[in-house]
Amino acid sequence: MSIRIVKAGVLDTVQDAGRHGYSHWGINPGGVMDSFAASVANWLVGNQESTAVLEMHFPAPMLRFEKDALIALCGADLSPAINDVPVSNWQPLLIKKDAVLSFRKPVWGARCYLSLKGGFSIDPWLNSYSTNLVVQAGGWRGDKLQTEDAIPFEGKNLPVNALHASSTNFMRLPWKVKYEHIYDIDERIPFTSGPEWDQLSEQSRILMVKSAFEIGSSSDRMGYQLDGPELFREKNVQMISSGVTFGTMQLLPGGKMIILMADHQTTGGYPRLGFIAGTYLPRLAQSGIRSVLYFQLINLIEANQMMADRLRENQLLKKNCFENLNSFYAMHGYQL
Amino acid sequence: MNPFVYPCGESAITFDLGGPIDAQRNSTILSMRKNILADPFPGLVDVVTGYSSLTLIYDWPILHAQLSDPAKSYQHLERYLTDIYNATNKHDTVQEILHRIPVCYDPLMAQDLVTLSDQLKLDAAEIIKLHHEAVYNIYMIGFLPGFPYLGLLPDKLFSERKRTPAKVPAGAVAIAGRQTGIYPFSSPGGWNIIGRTPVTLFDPSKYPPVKWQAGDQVKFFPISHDEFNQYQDP
Repeated sequence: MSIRIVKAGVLDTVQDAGRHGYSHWGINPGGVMDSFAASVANWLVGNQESTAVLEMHFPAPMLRFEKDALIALCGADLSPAINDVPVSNWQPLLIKKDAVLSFRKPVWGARCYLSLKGGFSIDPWLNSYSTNLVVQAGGWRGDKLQTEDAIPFEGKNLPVNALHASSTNFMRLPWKVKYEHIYDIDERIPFTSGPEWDQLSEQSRILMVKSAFEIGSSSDRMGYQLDGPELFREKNVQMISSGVTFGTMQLLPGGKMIILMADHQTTGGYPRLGFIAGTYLPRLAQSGIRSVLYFQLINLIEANQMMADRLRENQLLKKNCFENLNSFYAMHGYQL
Repeated sequence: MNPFVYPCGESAITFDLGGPIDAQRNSTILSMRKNILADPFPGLVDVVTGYSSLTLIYDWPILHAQLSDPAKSYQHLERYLTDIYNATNKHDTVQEILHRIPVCYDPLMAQDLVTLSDQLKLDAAEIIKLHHEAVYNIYMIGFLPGFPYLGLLPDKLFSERKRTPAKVPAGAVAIAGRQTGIYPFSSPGGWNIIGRTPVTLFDPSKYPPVKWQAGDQVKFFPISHDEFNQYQDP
Protein backbone atom coordinates (compact mmCIF):
# COMPACT_ATOMS: atom_id res chain seq x y z
CA MET A 1 0.00 0.00 0.00
CA SER A 2 1.39 3.32 -1.05
CA ILE A 3 1.19 7.03 -1.46
CA ARG A 4 0.07 7.45 -5.04
CA ILE A 5 1.29 10.52 -6.91
CA VAL A 6 -1.91 11.60 -8.63
CA LYS A 7 -0.11 14.58 -10.11
CA ALA A 8 3.58 15.27 -9.61
CA GLY A 9 4.84 18.63 -8.38
CA VAL A 10 7.73 20.61 -9.85
CA LEU A 11 10.31 19.03 -7.54
CA ASP A 12 9.27 16.41 -5.00
CA THR A 13 12.07 14.27 -3.62
CA VAL A 14 12.54 11.91 -0.72
CA GLN A 15 15.16 13.35 1.65
CA ASP A 16 16.51 12.75 5.10
CA ALA A 17 19.32 14.43 7.05
CA GLY A 18 21.75 13.61 4.23
CA ARG A 19 24.26 11.00 3.08
CA HIS A 20 27.32 11.89 5.10
CA GLY A 21 30.75 10.30 5.20
CA TYR A 22 31.29 9.65 1.47
CA SER A 23 33.22 12.74 0.41
CA HIS A 24 36.21 10.51 -0.46
CA TRP A 25 34.10 9.36 -3.41
CA GLY A 26 32.89 12.90 -4.09
CA ILE A 27 29.35 11.97 -3.13
CA ASN A 28 27.58 15.14 -2.04
CA PRO A 29 25.47 14.66 1.10
CA GLY A 30 22.23 16.33 -0.06
CA GLY A 31 19.38 16.02 2.39
CA VAL A 32 16.61 18.38 3.43
CA MET A 33 16.99 22.12 2.93
CA ASP A 34 15.11 22.97 6.15
CA SER A 35 16.20 20.65 8.94
CA PHE A 36 13.92 22.32 11.49
CA ALA A 37 10.71 21.78 9.51
CA ALA A 38 11.70 18.23 8.57
CA SER A 39 12.57 17.33 12.18
CA VAL A 40 9.34 18.79 13.57
CA ALA A 41 7.27 17.01 10.90
CA ASN A 42 8.85 13.76 12.09
CA TRP A 43 8.42 14.46 15.81
CA LEU A 44 4.74 15.29 15.33
CA VAL A 45 4.11 11.76 14.07
CA GLY A 46 6.37 9.99 16.56
CA ASN A 47 9.36 9.48 14.23
CA GLN A 48 12.98 10.21 14.99
CA GLU A 49 14.22 13.37 13.21
CA SER A 50 16.33 11.31 10.80
CA THR A 51 13.33 9.49 9.23
CA ALA A 52 12.91 10.16 5.52
CA VAL A 53 10.36 12.77 4.49
CA LEU A 54 9.03 14.11 1.23
CA GLU A 55 10.34 17.56 0.36
CA MET A 56 7.94 19.46 -1.91
CA HIS A 57 8.14 22.77 -3.75
CA PHE A 58 5.37 24.77 -5.40
CA PRO A 59 3.62 23.67 -7.65
CA ALA A 60 3.27 20.81 -5.19
CA PRO A 61 1.96 17.31 -5.89
CA MET A 62 -1.50 15.87 -5.45
CA LEU A 63 -1.22 12.68 -3.38
CA ARG A 64 -3.62 9.88 -2.55
CA PHE A 65 -3.04 7.72 0.51
CA GLU A 66 -3.96 4.17 -0.30
CA LYS A 67 -4.36 3.35 3.36
CA ASP A 68 -4.81 5.10 6.71
CA ALA A 69 -1.87 7.23 7.75
CA LEU A 70 -0.63 9.61 10.43
CA ILE A 71 1.08 12.53 8.72
CA ALA A 72 2.30 16.05 9.34
CA LEU A 73 3.19 18.93 7.06
CA CYS A 74 5.81 21.46 8.14
CA GLY A 75 7.64 24.26 6.41
CA ALA A 76 6.19 26.36 3.61
CA ASP A 77 2.47 27.08 3.75
CA LEU A 78 1.24 25.93 0.36
CA SER A 79 -2.45 25.93 1.41
CA PRO A 80 -2.79 22.20 2.00
CA ALA A 81 -6.20 20.56 1.83
CA ILE A 82 -7.47 17.03 2.37
CA ASN A 83 -10.27 16.21 -0.04
CA ASP A 84 -10.53 19.96 -0.56
CA VAL A 85 -10.97 20.76 3.13
CA PRO A 86 -8.20 23.14 4.27
CA VAL A 87 -5.78 21.78 6.88
CA SER A 88 -2.85 23.32 8.72
CA ASN A 89 0.86 22.78 8.80
CA TRP A 90 2.69 22.07 12.06
CA GLN A 91 -0.02 19.73 13.35
CA PRO A 92 -0.44 15.94 13.21
CA LEU A 93 -3.19 14.73 10.88
CA LEU A 94 -4.73 11.29 11.02
CA ILE A 95 -6.09 10.47 7.58
CA LYS A 96 -8.30 7.78 6.16
CA LYS A 97 -7.59 5.45 3.29
CA ASP A 98 -8.14 7.12 -0.11
CA ALA A 99 -7.89 10.67 1.23
CA VAL A 100 -6.36 13.07 -1.30
CA LEU A 101 -3.88 15.73 -0.22
CA SER A 102 -3.49 18.76 -2.46
CA PHE A 103 -1.87 22.17 -2.24
CA ARG A 104 -3.68 25.15 -3.65
CA LYS A 105 -1.39 28.18 -3.55
CA PRO A 106 1.88 29.33 -2.01
CA VAL A 107 1.35 31.64 0.95
CA TRP A 108 4.72 31.61 2.64
CA GLY A 109 8.02 29.77 2.37
CA ALA A 110 9.72 27.72 -0.31
CA ARG A 111 9.60 24.03 0.62
CA CYS A 112 7.13 21.92 2.59
CA TYR A 113 7.86 18.57 4.26
CA LEU A 114 5.48 15.63 4.51
CA SER A 115 6.23 13.08 7.20
CA LEU A 116 4.53 9.75 7.66
CA LYS A 117 4.46 7.74 10.89
CA GLY A 118 6.88 4.88 10.26
CA GLY A 119 8.40 6.54 7.21
CA PHE A 120 8.47 5.02 3.73
CA SER A 121 9.17 1.37 2.92
CA ILE A 122 12.06 1.98 0.56
CA ASP A 123 15.71 0.92 0.45
CA PRO A 124 18.53 3.21 1.52
CA TRP A 125 21.60 3.84 -0.61
CA LEU A 126 24.82 4.20 1.37
CA ASN A 127 22.91 4.45 4.64
CA SER A 128 20.65 7.30 3.59
CA TYR A 129 17.29 7.86 1.92
CA SER A 130 18.25 11.22 0.43
CA THR A 131 17.83 11.52 -3.33
CA ASN A 132 21.02 12.21 -5.29
CA LEU A 133 19.87 13.52 -8.68
CA VAL A 134 23.42 13.70 -10.10
CA VAL A 135 24.14 9.99 -9.72
CA GLN A 136 20.43 9.09 -9.83
CA ALA A 137 20.43 6.96 -6.71
CA GLY A 138 18.82 7.10 -3.28
CA GLY A 139 15.32 8.29 -2.37
CA TRP A 140 12.70 7.04 -4.80
CA ARG A 141 14.64 5.50 -7.70
CA GLY A 142 17.14 8.32 -7.56
CA ASP A 143 14.64 10.68 -9.12
CA LYS A 144 12.07 13.33 -8.38
CA LEU A 145 8.55 11.90 -8.11
CA GLN A 146 6.61 11.38 -11.33
CA THR A 147 2.84 11.17 -11.84
CA GLU A 148 1.61 7.60 -11.16
CA ASP A 149 4.56 6.74 -8.88
CA ALA A 150 3.48 4.79 -5.83
CA ILE A 151 5.71 4.99 -2.78
CA PRO A 152 5.09 2.17 -0.33
CA PHE A 153 4.64 2.79 3.38
CA GLU A 154 3.59 0.58 6.27
CA GLY A 155 1.58 2.90 8.49
CA LYS A 156 1.47 0.44 11.34
CA ASN A 157 0.23 1.13 14.85
CA LEU A 158 -2.24 3.89 14.13
CA PRO A 159 -5.05 4.83 16.54
CA VAL A 160 -7.67 3.78 14.00
CA ASN A 161 -10.54 3.86 16.50
CA ALA A 162 -10.14 7.61 16.78
CA LEU A 163 -9.98 7.92 13.05
CA HIS A 164 -13.00 5.84 12.22
CA ALA A 165 -15.08 7.54 14.88
CA SER A 166 -14.70 10.70 12.83
CA SER A 167 -17.22 11.22 10.04
CA THR A 168 -14.77 13.10 7.87
CA ASN A 169 -11.77 11.80 5.94
CA PHE A 170 -9.30 12.99 8.49
CA MET A 171 -8.80 14.20 12.01
CA ARG A 172 -6.59 16.99 13.28
CA LEU A 173 -4.77 16.05 16.48
CA PRO A 174 -5.26 18.92 18.89
CA TRP A 175 -1.80 20.48 19.13
CA LYS A 176 0.38 22.66 16.93
CA VAL A 177 4.01 23.65 17.03
CA LYS A 178 5.00 27.30 17.28
CA TYR A 179 7.46 28.08 14.48
CA GLU A 180 7.29 31.76 13.52
CA HIS A 181 10.31 32.76 15.61
CA ILE A 182 12.55 30.42 13.60
CA TYR A 183 11.71 32.20 10.35
CA ASP A 184 11.54 35.88 11.34
CA ILE A 185 12.20 37.73 8.08
CA ASP A 186 13.04 41.01 9.79
CA GLU A 187 16.17 39.57 11.29
CA ARG A 188 19.55 39.99 9.66
CA ILE A 189 21.19 36.70 8.84
CA PRO A 190 24.28 36.15 10.96
CA PHE A 191 27.46 34.67 9.54
CA THR A 192 30.92 33.96 10.87
CA SER A 193 33.86 35.10 8.76
CA GLY A 194 35.64 32.74 6.41
CA PRO A 195 39.39 32.38 5.75
CA GLU A 196 39.23 34.75 2.76
CA TRP A 197 37.15 37.45 4.53
CA ASP A 198 40.23 39.55 5.28
CA GLN A 199 41.20 39.53 1.61
CA LEU A 200 38.09 41.57 0.79
CA SER A 201 38.59 45.30 0.38
CA GLU A 202 37.38 47.34 3.35
CA GLN A 203 34.64 48.77 1.19
CA SER A 204 33.48 45.27 0.23
CA ARG A 205 33.37 44.20 3.85
CA ILE A 206 31.18 47.21 4.63
CA LEU A 207 28.93 46.51 1.64
CA MET A 208 28.52 42.95 2.78
CA VAL A 209 26.97 43.93 6.10
CA LYS A 210 25.10 47.03 4.93
CA SER A 211 23.59 46.03 1.59
CA ALA A 212 20.47 44.23 0.57
CA PHE A 213 21.08 41.00 -1.38
CA GLU A 214 18.33 39.38 -3.38
CA ILE A 215 18.07 35.64 -4.01
CA GLY A 216 18.48 35.40 -7.80
CA SER A 217 16.27 33.49 -10.19
CA SER A 218 18.80 30.76 -10.95
CA SER A 219 18.96 29.77 -7.26
CA ASP A 220 18.12 26.18 -6.35
CA ARG A 221 18.89 23.36 -3.89
CA MET A 222 22.56 23.55 -4.85
CA GLY A 223 23.04 27.20 -4.06
CA TYR A 224 21.54 30.65 -3.81
CA GLN A 225 23.04 33.05 -6.34
CA LEU A 226 22.76 36.50 -4.78
CA ASP A 227 22.07 39.72 -6.69
CA GLY A 228 23.70 42.64 -4.97
CA PRO A 229 26.71 44.94 -5.03
CA GLU A 230 29.90 43.45 -6.44
CA LEU A 231 32.51 42.57 -3.89
CA PHE A 232 36.26 42.51 -4.49
CA ARG A 233 39.31 40.96 -2.96
CA GLU A 234 42.21 43.33 -2.52
CA LYS A 235 44.72 40.59 -3.16
CA ASN A 236 43.87 37.89 -5.65
CA VAL A 237 45.52 35.06 -3.78
CA GLN A 238 45.35 31.82 -5.78
CA MET A 239 42.67 29.54 -4.32
CA ILE A 240 43.25 25.84 -3.75
CA SER A 241 40.16 23.61 -3.73
CA SER A 242 39.06 22.39 -0.33
CA GLY A 243 36.03 21.02 1.50
CA VAL A 244 32.91 23.20 1.67
CA THR A 245 29.69 22.95 3.69
CA PHE A 246 25.99 23.86 3.60
CA GLY A 247 25.93 27.59 4.33
CA THR A 248 29.36 28.45 2.88
CA MET A 249 29.31 31.93 1.27
CA GLN A 250 31.58 31.97 -1.78
CA LEU A 251 32.78 34.89 -3.89
CA LEU A 252 32.38 34.22 -7.61
CA PRO A 253 34.72 35.66 -10.25
CA GLY A 254 32.32 38.50 -11.25
CA GLY A 255 32.07 39.78 -7.65
CA LYS A 256 28.75 38.11 -6.89
CA MET A 257 28.17 35.81 -3.94
CA ILE A 258 26.70 32.35 -3.79
CA ILE A 259 25.50 30.59 -0.62
CA LEU A 260 25.95 26.83 -0.89
CA MET A 261 22.77 24.98 0.05
CA ALA A 262 21.79 21.34 0.64
CA ASP A 263 22.90 19.91 -2.73
CA HIS A 264 26.34 21.59 -2.64
CA GLN A 265 29.29 19.62 -3.96
CA THR A 266 31.84 18.32 -1.48
CA THR A 267 34.69 20.64 -2.51
CA GLY A 268 35.02 24.12 -3.95
CA GLY A 269 37.70 26.47 -5.19
CA TYR A 270 36.16 29.92 -4.68
CA PRO A 271 37.07 32.31 -1.86
CA ARG A 272 35.10 31.60 1.31
CA LEU A 273 33.85 34.90 2.69
CA GLY A 274 31.81 33.44 5.50
CA PHE A 275 29.53 30.72 6.84
CA ILE A 276 25.86 31.25 7.62
CA ALA A 277 25.09 30.54 11.31
CA GLY A 278 23.68 27.01 11.49
CA THR A 279 20.53 28.09 13.32
CA TYR A 280 19.60 30.34 10.39
CA LEU A 281 19.81 27.72 7.65
CA PRO A 282 16.10 26.81 8.03
CA ARG A 283 15.16 30.48 7.63
CA LEU A 284 17.32 30.68 4.52
CA ALA A 285 15.83 27.45 3.18
CA GLN A 286 12.36 29.01 3.34
CA SER A 287 13.46 32.19 1.57
CA GLY A 288 12.37 31.92 -2.02
CA ILE A 289 13.59 33.56 -5.18
CA ARG A 290 13.47 37.39 -4.94
CA SER A 291 13.67 37.32 -1.13
CA VAL A 292 15.81 40.13 0.23
CA LEU A 293 18.51 39.30 2.76
CA TYR A 294 20.69 41.40 5.03
CA PHE A 295 23.73 39.91 6.71
CA GLN A 296 25.38 40.47 10.06
CA LEU A 297 28.90 39.47 11.05
CA ILE A 298 29.12 37.55 14.34
CA ASN A 299 31.86 35.60 16.04
CA LEU A 300 32.16 31.89 16.68
CA ILE A 301 31.25 32.21 20.37
CA GLU A 302 27.94 33.79 19.42
CA ALA A 303 27.31 31.17 16.72
CA ASN A 304 27.96 28.40 19.24
CA GLN A 305 25.71 30.04 21.79
CA MET A 306 22.85 30.17 19.29
CA MET A 307 23.33 26.47 18.52
CA ALA A 308 23.26 25.62 22.24
CA ASP A 309 20.06 27.61 22.76
CA ARG A 310 18.36 26.10 19.72
CA LEU A 311 19.39 22.60 20.75
CA ARG A 312 17.81 23.07 24.18
CA GLU A 313 14.59 24.40 22.64
CA ASN A 314 14.44 21.53 20.17
CA GLN A 315 14.97 18.91 22.84
CA LEU A 316 12.03 20.34 24.75
CA LEU A 317 9.93 20.56 21.59
CA LYS A 318 10.65 16.95 20.70
CA LYS A 319 9.75 15.82 24.21
CA ASN A 320 6.45 17.72 24.07
CA CYS A 321 5.54 16.29 20.67
CA PHE A 322 6.12 12.74 21.87
CA GLU A 323 4.26 13.32 25.15
CA ASN A 324 1.24 14.73 23.35
CA LEU A 325 1.16 11.85 20.92
CA ASN A 326 1.59 9.35 23.74
CA SER A 327 -1.37 10.82 25.62
CA PHE A 328 -3.53 10.80 22.52
CA TYR A 329 -2.71 7.16 21.89
CA ALA A 330 -3.35 6.22 25.51
CA MET A 331 -6.64 8.10 25.52
CA HIS A 332 -7.84 5.95 22.65
CA GLY A 333 -6.54 2.72 24.10
CA TYR A 334 -3.34 2.45 22.07
CA GLN A 335 0.32 2.46 22.88
CA LEU A 336 2.76 4.51 20.88
CA MET B 1 54.93 23.22 5.40
CA ASN B 2 53.15 25.78 7.56
CA PRO B 3 49.87 24.48 8.84
CA PHE B 4 47.05 26.83 9.74
CA VAL B 5 43.70 25.97 11.21
CA TYR B 6 40.42 27.87 10.95
CA PRO B 7 36.76 27.33 11.72
CA CYS B 8 34.26 26.88 8.89
CA GLY B 9 31.13 27.90 10.74
CA GLU B 10 30.34 26.28 14.05
CA SER B 11 30.07 22.71 12.72
CA ALA B 12 33.31 22.33 10.75
CA ILE B 13 37.02 23.10 11.06
CA THR B 14 39.78 23.06 8.42
CA PHE B 15 43.44 22.14 8.72
CA ASP B 16 45.33 23.71 5.84
CA LEU B 17 48.88 23.22 4.58
CA GLY B 18 48.48 25.93 1.94
CA GLY B 19 50.35 25.94 -1.36
CA PRO B 20 51.98 25.19 -3.64
CA ILE B 21 50.10 22.05 -4.62
CA ASP B 22 52.59 19.21 -4.29
CA ALA B 23 52.69 15.51 -3.61
CA GLN B 24 54.08 15.81 -0.10
CA ARG B 25 51.38 18.17 1.18
CA ASN B 26 48.76 15.99 -0.44
CA SER B 27 50.05 12.70 0.97
CA THR B 28 50.41 14.28 4.44
CA ILE B 29 46.74 15.28 4.34
CA LEU B 30 45.68 11.84 3.12
CA SER B 31 47.72 10.15 5.87
CA MET B 32 46.15 12.45 8.46
CA ARG B 33 42.71 11.44 7.22
CA LYS B 34 43.63 7.78 7.53
CA ASN B 35 44.80 8.32 11.10
CA ILE B 36 41.67 10.26 12.02
CA LEU B 37 39.40 7.54 10.63
CA ALA B 38 41.38 4.79 12.40
CA ASP B 39 39.87 6.13 15.63
CA PRO B 40 37.09 8.56 14.80
CA PHE B 41 35.89 10.77 17.66
CA PRO B 42 32.18 10.66 18.58
CA GLY B 43 30.28 13.13 16.44
CA LEU B 44 32.69 13.05 13.50
CA VAL B 45 30.55 13.12 10.35
CA ASP B 46 33.10 13.38 7.54
CA VAL B 47 36.71 14.23 6.73
CA VAL B 48 36.81 16.09 3.42
CA THR B 49 40.24 16.33 1.82
CA GLY B 50 41.30 18.92 -0.73
CA TYR B 51 44.69 19.28 -2.39
CA SER B 52 46.42 20.31 0.78
CA SER B 53 43.73 20.65 3.41
CA LEU B 54 41.26 18.60 5.33
CA THR B 55 37.95 19.68 6.75
CA LEU B 56 36.34 17.92 9.70
CA ILE B 57 32.57 18.07 9.66
CA TYR B 58 30.96 17.11 12.95
CA ASP B 59 27.57 16.77 14.56
CA TRP B 60 27.41 19.81 16.84
CA PRO B 61 25.22 18.31 19.61
CA ILE B 62 27.21 15.05 19.82
CA LEU B 63 30.57 16.81 19.88
CA HIS B 64 29.53 19.32 22.52
CA ALA B 65 28.04 16.60 24.71
CA GLN B 66 31.55 15.01 24.87
CA LEU B 67 33.44 18.10 25.95
CA SER B 68 34.10 19.00 29.55
CA ASP B 69 34.28 22.65 28.44
CA PRO B 70 31.91 23.09 25.45
CA ALA B 71 32.75 26.79 25.18
CA LYS B 72 36.27 25.75 24.18
CA SER B 73 35.18 23.37 21.40
CA TYR B 74 37.24 25.16 18.73
CA GLN B 75 40.43 25.08 20.80
CA HIS B 76 39.81 21.40 21.53
CA LEU B 77 39.52 20.54 17.84
CA GLU B 78 42.50 22.70 16.92
CA ARG B 79 44.61 20.82 19.46
CA TYR B 80 43.27 17.49 18.17
CA LEU B 81 44.23 18.32 14.58
CA THR B 82 47.67 19.53 15.59
CA ASP B 83 48.25 16.29 17.51
CA ILE B 84 47.19 14.25 14.48
CA TYR B 85 49.54 16.28 12.26
CA ASN B 86 52.46 15.83 14.64
CA ALA B 87 51.83 12.11 14.86
CA THR B 88 51.60 11.71 11.07
CA ASN B 89 54.68 10.62 9.19
CA LYS B 90 55.20 13.36 6.58
CA HIS B 91 57.02 10.98 4.31
CA ASP B 92 54.46 8.23 4.42
CA THR B 93 53.14 7.34 1.03
CA VAL B 94 49.53 6.23 1.00
CA GLN B 95 49.13 2.82 -0.64
CA GLU B 96 49.38 3.30 -4.38
CA ILE B 97 46.83 1.60 -6.60
CA LEU B 98 47.32 2.21 -10.32
CA HIS B 99 44.25 2.49 -12.54
CA ARG B 100 44.79 2.11 -16.28
CA ILE B 101 42.17 4.04 -18.18
CA PRO B 102 41.54 3.67 -21.93
CA VAL B 103 40.96 6.96 -23.75
CA CYS B 104 39.86 7.60 -27.29
CA TYR B 105 41.59 10.79 -28.46
CA ASP B 106 39.80 10.86 -31.84
CA PRO B 107 38.78 14.33 -33.05
CA LEU B 108 35.10 13.44 -32.56
CA MET B 109 35.74 12.90 -28.87
CA ALA B 110 38.26 15.69 -28.45
CA GLN B 111 36.22 18.87 -28.87
CA ASP B 112 38.89 21.24 -27.61
CA LEU B 113 42.05 19.68 -29.02
CA VAL B 114 42.29 22.06 -32.00
CA THR B 115 41.94 25.28 -29.97
CA LEU B 116 44.27 23.83 -27.37
CA SER B 117 46.82 23.03 -30.03
CA ASP B 118 46.80 26.73 -31.04
CA GLN B 119 47.02 27.91 -27.45
CA LEU B 120 49.86 25.58 -26.46
CA LYS B 121 51.72 25.79 -29.81
CA LEU B 122 51.91 21.99 -29.94
CA ASP B 123 50.38 19.71 -32.50
CA ALA B 124 47.52 17.42 -31.41
CA ALA B 125 49.65 14.26 -31.58
CA GLU B 126 52.20 15.83 -29.22
CA ILE B 127 49.50 16.83 -26.73
CA ILE B 128 48.05 13.32 -26.79
CA LYS B 129 51.45 11.69 -26.31
CA LEU B 130 52.42 13.92 -23.41
CA HIS B 131 49.02 13.31 -21.81
CA HIS B 132 49.08 9.52 -21.83
CA GLU B 133 52.80 9.07 -21.15
CA ALA B 134 52.65 10.34 -17.59
CA VAL B 135 51.45 8.59 -14.45
CA TYR B 136 49.24 10.89 -12.39
CA ASN B 137 48.36 11.02 -8.72
CA ILE B 138 44.74 11.49 -7.71
CA TYR B 139 45.02 14.56 -5.49
CA MET B 140 41.38 14.74 -4.57
CA ILE B 141 37.89 13.71 -5.61
CA GLY B 142 35.31 16.47 -5.77
CA PHE B 143 33.18 18.76 -7.98
CA LEU B 144 31.11 15.71 -9.03
CA PRO B 145 30.82 12.23 -7.50
CA GLY B 146 33.88 10.28 -8.68
CA PHE B 147 35.58 13.24 -10.43
CA PRO B 148 39.35 12.81 -9.95
CA TYR B 149 41.69 15.80 -9.87
CA LEU B 150 44.83 14.30 -11.44
CA GLY B 151 48.21 15.85 -11.51
CA LEU B 152 50.57 17.13 -12.24
CA LEU B 153 50.65 17.66 -16.01
CA PRO B 154 53.99 18.35 -17.70
CA ASP B 155 54.63 22.12 -18.03
CA LYS B 156 54.13 22.06 -21.81
CA LEU B 157 50.47 21.12 -21.28
CA PHE B 158 49.63 23.95 -18.89
CA SER B 159 46.42 25.51 -20.28
CA GLU B 160 43.75 28.02 -19.33
CA ARG B 161 40.19 26.95 -18.58
CA LYS B 162 37.65 27.75 -21.26
CA ARG B 163 36.12 31.20 -20.97
CA THR B 164 32.62 29.80 -21.42
CA PRO B 165 31.89 26.43 -19.84
CA ALA B 166 30.21 24.00 -22.25
CA LYS B 167 28.17 20.86 -21.78
CA VAL B 168 30.56 17.95 -21.31
CA PRO B 169 29.57 14.29 -21.97
CA ALA B 170 30.05 11.55 -19.37
CA GLY B 171 33.52 10.01 -19.76
CA ALA B 172 35.11 13.20 -21.13
CA VAL B 173 38.82 13.47 -20.36
CA ALA B 174 39.96 17.05 -19.96
CA ILE B 175 42.82 19.30 -18.89
CA ALA B 176 43.11 22.72 -17.25
CA GLY B 177 45.95 24.36 -15.37
CA ARG B 178 48.31 21.62 -14.29
CA GLN B 179 45.49 19.13 -13.81
CA THR B 180 43.73 16.54 -15.83
CA GLY B 181 40.43 14.95 -14.94
CA ILE B 182 37.56 12.77 -16.14
CA TYR B 183 33.88 13.72 -15.91
CA PRO B 184 31.94 10.70 -14.59
CA PHE B 185 28.66 12.41 -15.49
CA SER B 186 27.54 14.80 -18.15
CA SER B 187 27.91 18.28 -16.72
CA PRO B 188 28.73 21.86 -17.63
CA GLY B 189 32.51 22.12 -17.55
CA GLY B 190 35.28 24.60 -18.16
CA TRP B 191 38.16 22.19 -18.69
CA ASN B 192 39.54 21.51 -22.20
CA ILE B 193 38.25 18.21 -23.56
CA ILE B 194 40.88 16.09 -25.28
CA GLY B 195 39.30 12.64 -25.31
CA ARG B 196 36.72 10.28 -23.86
CA THR B 197 36.81 7.05 -21.93
CA PRO B 198 34.18 4.31 -22.42
CA VAL B 199 34.67 3.12 -18.83
CA THR B 200 31.72 3.54 -16.44
CA LEU B 201 33.33 5.56 -13.70
CA PHE B 202 30.51 5.65 -11.18
CA ASP B 203 27.99 2.87 -10.62
CA PRO B 204 25.65 3.30 -7.65
CA SER B 205 24.52 -0.32 -7.92
CA LYS B 206 28.03 -1.46 -6.96
CA TYR B 207 29.99 -1.11 -3.74
CA PRO B 208 32.23 0.82 -3.84
CA PRO B 209 30.40 2.86 -6.46
CA VAL B 210 33.65 4.39 -7.67
CA LYS B 211 36.88 2.45 -8.04
CA TRP B 212 39.34 5.12 -7.03
CA GLN B 213 40.21 7.46 -4.19
CA ALA B 214 42.65 10.26 -3.54
CA GLY B 215 46.12 8.77 -3.20
CA ASP B 216 45.68 6.27 -6.06
CA GLN B 217 47.36 6.71 -9.42
CA VAL B 218 46.01 6.86 -12.97
CA LYS B 219 47.63 6.15 -16.33
CA PHE B 220 45.80 6.71 -19.59
CA PHE B 221 46.33 4.60 -22.72
CA PRO B 222 45.00 5.42 -26.19
CA ILE B 223 42.34 3.32 -27.91
CA SER B 224 40.74 3.62 -31.34
CA HIS B 225 37.22 4.69 -32.11
CA ASP B 226 36.26 1.07 -32.85
CA GLU B 227 37.74 -0.13 -29.57
CA PHE B 228 35.78 2.63 -27.83
CA ASN B 229 32.52 1.42 -29.37
CA GLN B 230 33.24 -2.21 -28.54
CA TYR B 231 34.33 -1.59 -24.97
CA GLN B 232 32.50 -3.45 -22.26
CA ASP B 233 32.89 -2.78 -18.56
CA PRO B 234 34.27 -5.87 -16.79
